[in-house]
Amino acid sequence: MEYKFQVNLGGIIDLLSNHIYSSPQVFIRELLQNAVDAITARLHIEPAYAGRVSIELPAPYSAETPTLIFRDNGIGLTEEEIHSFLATIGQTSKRDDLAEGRSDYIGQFGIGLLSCFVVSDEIVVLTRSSGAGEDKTTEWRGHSDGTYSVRSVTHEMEAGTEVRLRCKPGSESYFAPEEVARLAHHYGSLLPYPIRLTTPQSTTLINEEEPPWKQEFAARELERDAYLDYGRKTFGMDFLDYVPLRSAVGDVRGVAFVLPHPMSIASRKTHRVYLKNMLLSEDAEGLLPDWAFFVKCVVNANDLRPTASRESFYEDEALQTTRESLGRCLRNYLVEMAESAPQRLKNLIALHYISIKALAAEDDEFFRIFVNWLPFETNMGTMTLTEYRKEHETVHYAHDMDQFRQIARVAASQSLCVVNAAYAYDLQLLLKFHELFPEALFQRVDANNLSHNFEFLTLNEQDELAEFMEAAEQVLRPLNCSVEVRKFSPPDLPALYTASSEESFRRSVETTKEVTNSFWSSVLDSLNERVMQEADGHLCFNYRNPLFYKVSRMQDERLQRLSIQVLYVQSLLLGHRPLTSKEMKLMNEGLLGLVEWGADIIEGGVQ
Amino acid sequence: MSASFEIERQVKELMSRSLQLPEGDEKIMILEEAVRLADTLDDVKLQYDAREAFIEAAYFGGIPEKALVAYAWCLAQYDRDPAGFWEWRILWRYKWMVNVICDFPQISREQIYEMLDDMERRFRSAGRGLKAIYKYRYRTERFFGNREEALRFYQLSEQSRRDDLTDCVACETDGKVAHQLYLGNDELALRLAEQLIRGRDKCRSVPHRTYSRLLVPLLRMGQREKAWDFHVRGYYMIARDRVMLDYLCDHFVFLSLYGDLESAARIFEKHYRWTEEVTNTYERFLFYRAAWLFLEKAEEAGMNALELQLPHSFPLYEAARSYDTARLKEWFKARAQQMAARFDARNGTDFFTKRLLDMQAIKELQQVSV
Repeated sequence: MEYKFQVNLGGIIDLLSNHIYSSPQVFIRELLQNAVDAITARLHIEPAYAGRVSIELPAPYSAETPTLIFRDNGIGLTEEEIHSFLATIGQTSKRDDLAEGRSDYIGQFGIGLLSCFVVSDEIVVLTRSSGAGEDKTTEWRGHSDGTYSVRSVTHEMEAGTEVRLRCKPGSESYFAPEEVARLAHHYGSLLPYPIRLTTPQSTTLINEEEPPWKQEFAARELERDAYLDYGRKTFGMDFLDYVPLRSAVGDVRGVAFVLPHPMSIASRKTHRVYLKNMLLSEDAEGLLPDWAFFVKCVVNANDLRPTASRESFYEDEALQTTRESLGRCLRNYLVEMAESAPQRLKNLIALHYISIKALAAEDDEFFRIFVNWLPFETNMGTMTLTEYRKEHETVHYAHDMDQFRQIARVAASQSLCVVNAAYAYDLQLLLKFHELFPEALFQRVDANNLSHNFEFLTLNEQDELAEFMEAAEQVLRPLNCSVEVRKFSPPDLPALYTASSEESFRRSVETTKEVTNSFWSSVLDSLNERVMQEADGHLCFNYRNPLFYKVSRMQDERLQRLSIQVLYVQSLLLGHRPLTSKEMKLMNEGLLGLVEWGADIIEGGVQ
Repeated sequence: MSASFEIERQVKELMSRSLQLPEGDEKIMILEEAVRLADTLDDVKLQYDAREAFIEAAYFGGIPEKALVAYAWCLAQYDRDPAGFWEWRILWRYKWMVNVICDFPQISREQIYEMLDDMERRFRSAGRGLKAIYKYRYRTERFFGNREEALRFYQLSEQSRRDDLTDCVACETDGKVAHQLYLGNDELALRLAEQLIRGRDKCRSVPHRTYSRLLVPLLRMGQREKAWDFHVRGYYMIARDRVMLDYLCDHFVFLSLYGDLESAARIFEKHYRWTEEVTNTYERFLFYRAAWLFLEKAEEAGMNALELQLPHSFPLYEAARSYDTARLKEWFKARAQQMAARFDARNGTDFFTKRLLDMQAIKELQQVSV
């Protein structure tokens, strides 16, 4: 014998109505959707008929229980349709049929009505089918405990559907006229059928204004004002500019507004999107290509699929093609501006250069046009590559921040302008430049090859320093650091410590091993194996530095050793390198030794 | 004093700047700098905070060995002063560490097991369940190719209760999909995957991974259309995410088997660069293996030369952008084989070499069924 589960309908309704919807306000959206679908359905049969929607907030029976009446003059329902649409919950096959088979409907009929239980314990639907010969008005009365009744009523009404809600205690704010007007406008401002709100005092048209992309303008200036005004009303922001958007795939129209402030790459790029003129989401992501984060959009799509949660568009090939076409609208806008309004483009780039760099990095043609405009950071200030190449034949660049910091100062004092290519897209752009303009000379510089260009000592000078070199090597060899003396600028720098990125990694391992237990130390050693052998620091003393000159000639061996230690540690600190405990010890030894020596001299002097 | 205050301010500024950046080198560099600066001060709390941010950036930016070093430091500080730091987070992130440690063949088997034991000890003494531990033991054994041990740990993990250190529900379900595929139950895996994709459970890597896993199985089941749909949706989700290189390789393999060699070539060009940027040997292995398959398919299709835009740094770089297919294939094949041998030597099995042969089997299977 088979039995069926007994389901507590009230509980299920509560669960569905309170949990499938993100907020109670959506009951207005669901009602609007049902109304629009009913109108669309009737238009298929009577193309000439004019659909309309009305919302009425009659004077309440009593102050505590306001009522809301929602009417459409759409296709209406017959009694059989009532049973199948309004009485079966969670019948997914029906939903799928509706979604796939009849793509011009937005909603899911009966399901949407459930959302009304969040604000009302009773839903009354009065409906009359618009079909020929259907003159019967039917009433469906549903309760949040899961029961409903259906009966014919004598009530005269035109074809269409009327939904009556009675406010449930605690939901009063959703029945306030201002709130209803706000929500109806929020979800339905683009709908092509008039929506009227009637209160005991007045009747107003909610969706009076057409979006600018549906309007015709006599002059460019009027168009501009209308768009920017629309942007201000929609987002409460004064935008720099606007770009009309259009995509044949997805049947998309809309506008992108240029943001008046810079955006970071990682921030969420959200847009206001409508599906068949009904608001789908205020913060839909993935509408535009990744690089296009300098705009905020409003678009309506008639031919894209929503996700199951109806919060954004479904990621499929249609959406991907749409994204490309919208990206092309923005790209054309920029290219056109480069030709016709360079000063405006300059202002735009000052704010949004990262976005434009991102596009240039993936689009060769665009890169060719824009490369002259894009700013790069160098150790001599921000400049474009064109400006750079006017002054310098070869483009020198450092590929990471660590290297750039190590060399910026020294390079500048040698009039070597170095691009810091550590920022997002910069390295990619430089490499692309190299590829597209093979005649341009590019050279990556790091601290090592920078010091290779330092001037060599003469043989005599080298002879002079023989003893010093021996002492320095003795101090530094145990620290995995090689030594050399060259001449370089600036003369106030006694020594330059340079290290490859492998060395930086080794150093981080070494300092970490000072605190980890033996197990983790062994893991770190294994990890480090690959780079251990070749990694070396390099200390280059500056022959032109007066202090170095004195140190190199010191007769007192101990004093010289201490001074070398201190110069070494100081050059590490200048490069922001963390000190290992060995180096810390060196510094302490060096400093204390020198202090002691100084004190001895003073004492000697006093004596 | 004021100098150290200034440095602290700089560290914090770098950390907040990093929040504005997507995962990638720039973010890693900025936080590396924050760590370096913090280390010049004697302020363990600041050093720890900077490293915590750095660990996440390095891990999700696809440079896990840097994350390991910083993690080792934090763990040591945590051991010195357990009350001073957040226990849950350091334990949670231990999972990241055991998740990537196998990818480095220079780490020995003993070290990997010891790390798992250490993690288990810590979970136990923190009063946590072992569901996550068993799961990572399962994954490790799977990685090594020890099927029986793997199945045993899977069982243990399934029998343990969820707690606050268990992976999120989306990851757990995705793990079930992976396991059913491992067992060869393609149909069941697909059913689970479709439930997951339809449902609400999501995280930063699921359902991205789920789509990838099912690409080849769907071809095997003859569901080409669904496979293509999964490819379109899944690839878009991970195309810019270097840490997903392993899953990108599934798409690369898929396109070669599906027969869209043009798209496969675009993936090859676009993502080859990542193999030079990451030091994770396992991910490089997967890419080289996929490239080998692609090149073999291209060769079979009579494409003796390929037009490819590869970086200057590629060892066989051609300025003219035209590459000899056979020569490229040999290059990737040789490297994939070397790496497989290296993993096998460490793992003490022949699983990786077998995986290369499997790749050939997949290819043959495809020829029969398409």
